[in-house]
Amino acid sequence: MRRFFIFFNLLPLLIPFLAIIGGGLLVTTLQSFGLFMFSYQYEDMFFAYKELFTDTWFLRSAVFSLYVALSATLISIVLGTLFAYMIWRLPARYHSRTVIYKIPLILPHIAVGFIAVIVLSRTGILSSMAYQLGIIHSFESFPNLLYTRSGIDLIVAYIYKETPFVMVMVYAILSRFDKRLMETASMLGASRLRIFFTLILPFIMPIINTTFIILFIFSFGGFDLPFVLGDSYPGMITIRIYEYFFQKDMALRPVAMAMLTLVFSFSLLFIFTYLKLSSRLEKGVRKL
Amino acid sequence: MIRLIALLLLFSVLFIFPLLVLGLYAASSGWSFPNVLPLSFDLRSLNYLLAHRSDIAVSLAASCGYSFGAVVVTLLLTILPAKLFARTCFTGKPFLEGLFLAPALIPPMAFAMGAHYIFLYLGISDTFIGVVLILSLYTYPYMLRALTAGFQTYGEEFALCARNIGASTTRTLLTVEMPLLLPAIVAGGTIVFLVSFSEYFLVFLIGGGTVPSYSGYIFPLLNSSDKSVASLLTLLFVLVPILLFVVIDRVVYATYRRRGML
Amino acid sequence: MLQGAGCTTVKVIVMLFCLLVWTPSQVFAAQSFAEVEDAAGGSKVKWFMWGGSPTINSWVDTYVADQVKKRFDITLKRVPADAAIFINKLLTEKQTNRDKGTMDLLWINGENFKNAMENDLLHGPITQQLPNFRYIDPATVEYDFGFPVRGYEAPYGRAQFVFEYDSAKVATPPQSFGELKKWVKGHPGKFTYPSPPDFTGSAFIRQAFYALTGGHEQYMHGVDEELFQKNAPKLWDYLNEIEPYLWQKGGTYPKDIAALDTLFERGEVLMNMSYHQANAQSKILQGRYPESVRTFVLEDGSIFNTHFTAIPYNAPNRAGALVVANFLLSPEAQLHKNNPENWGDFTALDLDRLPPDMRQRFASLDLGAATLSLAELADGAVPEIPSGYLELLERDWEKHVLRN
Repeated sequence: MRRFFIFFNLLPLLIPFLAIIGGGLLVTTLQSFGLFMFSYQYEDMFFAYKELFTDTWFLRSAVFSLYVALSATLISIVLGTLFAYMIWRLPARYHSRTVIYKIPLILPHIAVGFIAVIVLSRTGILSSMAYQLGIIHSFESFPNLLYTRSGIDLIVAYIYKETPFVMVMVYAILSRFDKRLMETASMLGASRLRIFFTLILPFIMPIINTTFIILFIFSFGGFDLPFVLGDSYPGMITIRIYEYFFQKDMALRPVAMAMLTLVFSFSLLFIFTYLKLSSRLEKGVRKL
Repeated sequence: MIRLIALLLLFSVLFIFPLLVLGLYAASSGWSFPNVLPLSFDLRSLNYLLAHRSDIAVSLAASCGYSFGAVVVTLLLTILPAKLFARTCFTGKPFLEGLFLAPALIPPMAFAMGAHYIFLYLGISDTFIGVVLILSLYTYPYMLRALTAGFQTYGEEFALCARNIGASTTRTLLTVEMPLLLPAIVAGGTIVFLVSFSEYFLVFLIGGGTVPSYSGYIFPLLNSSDKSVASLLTLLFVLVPILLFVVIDRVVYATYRRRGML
Repeated sequence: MLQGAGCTTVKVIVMLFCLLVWTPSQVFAAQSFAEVEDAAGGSKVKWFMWGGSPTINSWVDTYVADQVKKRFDITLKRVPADAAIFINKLLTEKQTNRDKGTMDLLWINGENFKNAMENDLLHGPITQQLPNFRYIDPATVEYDFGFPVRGYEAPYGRAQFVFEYDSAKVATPPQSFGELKKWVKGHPGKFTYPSPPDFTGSAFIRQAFYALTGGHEQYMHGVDEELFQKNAPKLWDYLNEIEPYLWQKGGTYPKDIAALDTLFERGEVLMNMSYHQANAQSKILQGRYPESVRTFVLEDGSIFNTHFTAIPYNAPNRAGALVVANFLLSPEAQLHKNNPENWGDFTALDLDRLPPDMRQRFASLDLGAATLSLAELADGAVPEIPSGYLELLERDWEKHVLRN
């Protein structure tokens, strides 16, 4: 009876979840093996995977995506934690006045991509300011920030979007921290730096872990932002998937699906490994 | 006090400055290097907005429509499971909770492209309801979390009390549980709305260009070389959620604050 | 006397017979087209087309939509979508046996048309049904990128590839591909082209292909893979040779023509290219280009093509689509379109087939200082390559130039 009760309450979510998310993932995987591909028949089930691994472009794109995701997320976490800490240290009545940091949270990804293009371009506002300050004498001296192999435009754009998210998460946790612990430590002679690293940091570590996972996957698998920002070679993996799915011959669709299958398998593996590792370090604290 | 000002200054530069730049682009057509401010201002982008106002209005309305639809659907999907997770313990609960967080953790592209195939066969691709459905399945984790927290906060006692005094299930639901839950619903709902409203890829994939959307409308313009019009329309894109939050804050939260419930 | 009467009767019968059989089918088309127009009245037509040009979007949204509403009570809805994407969509719909689609009219040509025809995605033939088709010289629309049209798509404009530059910044533009190479090397970082499969970028490498491998005639007889493999390396060598002197040292290419437009408008590169002859003039009138911008073609020839509209096999509003396609072909619409103030797209009509007053109005159009004269354009015009080669070129560009 209890079992039935539990099951019944889960049903409204479970059914659509299994059908659409489970079903969606299943179809993606099957199509990567050439099955369920409408009327197309393939002799070799693994041709899509072979194509991916024999040609270097896929690996380069994957590495590039990982590099962009890692850089953006790490920097966002450092900046976000720092800013959240700075806000929290202000007298309580001032906290709500800093709300403007939440603006990038409501900006759509495509808008952030667009903003990155107009701010970072060689003939954009940053470049103009550098010129007026006498740092450069023509726009050609301004470094290439957009469409480069260093992915710096993508990283900056993702940092702009992700830092406020980190701030919100860390601030929420920090507000639960008992300030008297800090006062005690400081009375005992601990420096501000020491207080931060030995008191605050372990306290906020769980939320940082959660946030890291979320943001890393989000920037690795995000499509809207790189799509507007524009990329060339090797570019983000999601754009390659889009090209294979929409712009190439339909017979090549399994290649797109194979890439997608690898992307989500990697995400699952990443989450699993990361959680296992961090739970070893802090036992029993709720992660998600 | 100085620290506040310094921090505010820093945040303004980092977070508001790009929006200001957008505003300046929107107000002038010929702004280019090396001018830090546009030399001349014009209303060309505004004229474009007015000339295309019906198209823009339709796509804005559609975006608001399917975003709101997603709020309703996610509420219906997650309200019972949230109550279960908040109040009951059972084996496999942590596993299920983790599982249900999947759409927020794996790239949505992964299941959306497969789901597109399923929608095609079901005949709901290129339809409004298809878009609402895929957005709901992408954003429901936020509603689930918010509702779970909401149920955890107020506990069963209130409903039990009401039932004890003789209120029917429906009456309890409407006059006791829902009002207590409303802040959580609103919190979850605003995130669901925001994410759905801003989404481009899922709406483009499932909607196929047939379902109008503001993100779909603005996208080709972002890529074109007309930065002025694109900037104005982007500002409009941001305005809607801001208005929404202000209204929600005034209407809902103020009421709750007055009653001492927040 | 009977014989005389019989003779006349026979003559009359023969005359009637001739009239019935040899009357241009256009007359019948016109009669039944009125029925089509009636059926289309009060309906909605969704036209899927490339949405990357605000100028074209405006022309469709204002002039075309207004006119078809006034004349035929049709509500036109333009839906921005790349051709490759909506062909993909049609393919998927065909695979899932969807009989009622979502698209009524398409802007299509080239390899997308070929793809669509090979997969039976279009409804047709349609051109014989359109009364305004009488103003077209059928020979000009027999082939689309070397693929037989067979009346499945209706023309509505002619485009020719031109280069653009600012005459205030560049004194003498190069005259040939050889000179272009020298110019690029002499001005590092000031030239680039959109990455294929963008339409304009793809056209650029096609032009180069013609110029570097001895002209276009050799390719006009179907796709010869051997010939391609023999000649393509000359193209890759050229493109790879100029690559280090391109914008961003060729490490990245603008992803589409809109991106290149932005670079040119901002002065980051000194040359632009366009598949629209009057694009430069149009932008000058909008204030986006300085007045000193001019266009030129290379003496190795400049490619021209026709763009078409077509109707998907599962269009929900076939009648409406036919009416819009016909309107686009009308002399009034073509004239309005040709004016650089509105769009500047050249007409697909055969001016000799127009009534004299219409002909006069076309002749007196001011195409602007930045547009080359019709004579200059016609001089260098070469036909497009069969789309089989196009696909090979785009695929191999990625392999030999981009990934290098």
